[in-house]
Amino acid sequence: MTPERRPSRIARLAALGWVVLAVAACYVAQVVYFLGAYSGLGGRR
Amino acid sequence: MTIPWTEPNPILPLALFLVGIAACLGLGRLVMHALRVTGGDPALRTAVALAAGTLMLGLYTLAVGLLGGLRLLPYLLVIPTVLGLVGVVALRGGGGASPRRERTNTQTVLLGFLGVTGLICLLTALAPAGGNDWDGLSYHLAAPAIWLGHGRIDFLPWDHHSNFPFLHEMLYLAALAVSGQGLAKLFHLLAGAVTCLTLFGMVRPRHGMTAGLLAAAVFASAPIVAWEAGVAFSDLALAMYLAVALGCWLAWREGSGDRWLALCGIALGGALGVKVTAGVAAVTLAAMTLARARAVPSHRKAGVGYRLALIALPALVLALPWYLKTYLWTGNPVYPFLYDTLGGRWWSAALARGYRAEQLGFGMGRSLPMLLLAPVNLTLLPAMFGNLPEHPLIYNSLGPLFLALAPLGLIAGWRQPLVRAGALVAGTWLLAWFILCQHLRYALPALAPVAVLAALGAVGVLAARPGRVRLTARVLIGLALVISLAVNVWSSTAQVRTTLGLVSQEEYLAAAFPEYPLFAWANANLPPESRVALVGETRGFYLQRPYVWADHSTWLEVSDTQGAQDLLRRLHHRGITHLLASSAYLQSAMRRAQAGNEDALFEALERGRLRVIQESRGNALLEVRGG
Repeated sequence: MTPERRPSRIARLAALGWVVLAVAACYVAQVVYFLGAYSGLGGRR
Repeated sequence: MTIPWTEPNPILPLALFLVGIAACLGLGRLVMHALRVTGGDPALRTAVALAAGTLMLGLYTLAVGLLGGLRLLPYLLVIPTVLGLVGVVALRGGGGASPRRERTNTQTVLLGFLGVTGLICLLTALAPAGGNDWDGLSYHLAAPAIWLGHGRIDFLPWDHHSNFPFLHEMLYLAALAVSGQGLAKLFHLLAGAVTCLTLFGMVRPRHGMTAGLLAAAVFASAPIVAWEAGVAFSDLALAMYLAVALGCWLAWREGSGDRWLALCGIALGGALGVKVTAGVAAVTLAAMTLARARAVPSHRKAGVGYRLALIALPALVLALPWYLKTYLWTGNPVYPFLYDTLGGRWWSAALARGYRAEQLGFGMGRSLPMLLLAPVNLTLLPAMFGNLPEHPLIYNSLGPLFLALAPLGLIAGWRQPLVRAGALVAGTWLLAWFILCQHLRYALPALAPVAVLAALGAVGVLAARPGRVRLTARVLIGLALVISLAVNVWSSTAQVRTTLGLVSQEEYLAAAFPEYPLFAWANANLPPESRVALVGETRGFYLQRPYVWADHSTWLEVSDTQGAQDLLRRLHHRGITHLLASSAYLQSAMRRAQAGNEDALFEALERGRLRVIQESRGNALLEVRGG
């Protein structure tokens, strides 16, 4: 997001939404895995 | 030393580490002075010098080792050390000074994060290697220890890893010769630190101090990076050389002079000396050089071929010693890979198939949807890309910031050379990773350029309006850094307590490496002339008797025998007096025997040709009897 071209309001909100989604999904997924919900997928040795 | 190859306290390794950093910096500055390199961000110049210096020190140690001079290595290291210290004192860093500005709160926080992370990694590295430093105990540290015992670098037919390019392991060898494993592991931490410095030096001149610090912090926030900084692997060394190569290429591209292209070639030579897969980045950067040299008319005066030679020749010359040595010893320069085409001693088609099957077993498949989803899968399901599914947050994790921020940086900054070059290098690396072996740590070198993209994305959201967007972004990025720090602290508590002397090294190892007591018993009780075969176990670093691996080459195979007689014949042929068998191997053998299948090991035990002389936690030390 360079100063020369300010992104639109939608673009800014979309970018923030992506950040929120990615951060939340990362931790939720790993906590769920840690609690065994993904054990059916089979981990590695 | 009570524990083999281990300093009793951190003072000596820390002091020698500082000397080593100064020596590497000075050696690198001598190289840059000889090449008359000018310009470039001061931080990038320092990073380049450190990388070049470690490369020179590694090649020097290789030469001493091949000439059979390892018993004199502690004395011979004085030469490059003195040269390096002269270089540090006599030569300035160059590149001009950056204008001093008052530090912002964000910059202070980022510096604090980097400092605390580095400190935790340093205290972790100084603790003895535990069982999860699997590859360190198996070959990164173990092979150098064996060579020091032999007094030379020689061919180990039973350990194919020892025939890989081993540039960074030469620093481990030098460290073991003068101090121990604490100093050795600090050199891997140094590689991580230099990677962060490189990213900072790449981004700061183009996007400011905050962006530069963000690039370093995002890279360091990945738990896999922090974990690697405390163990003796080589992935951070590869990340360092590739990051430096990219930084030098960008400096050339933006007009700092052709000598930066030569530095890029030198860094690629270092990368190829760490792993053969660095060839992917080397080809990418060479192609980028070709495209750039042909596209810009002024470059045509000096010739496209000249520029390609500047990047290719240093890389090939500096990498050649490793591949030539391996070719002369095994018949295959990239042994044991490409076995079907190039062959190789003490390897077989069955071993090659097994190796490839193991590599293909990591990850989530090789379909097009999985390729497109790879960044998401790596972030959300990192345990699918590693060996330790029970600790996804600790060993196998990237953290969220790469996925969250890099796409934003890529979209916003696509017109910038920094972004395009970083995306190309990272993209081609990840494509090769996807095809070859989807283990998380093999993707680590790509995290460096991706961290650059993430930093630019972060700068964008942190500066966006309205204020709610900025605040939310600040909270999320801060939360990710705090969680990263918490994970690092949590997973390093035992090591930090050991380094600080709150827990003895023996007590730590008994918990962190359950097999260690058996190695300690063997060291205390086996006759000096014993020769041990490790069966179902490869982590022989702490064993102070000559040892070999069974079943990792055709040099000694014990699992594919025609009964006890055949097993004993093979053991006697290799002069094996004892077997150290892992609990996993013994349990597997027991299951075979209980199922009514023949097992040579148990048959030999029943006949009294093998005798258990010590057991510990399911692992066993067996004496080979009779001739």
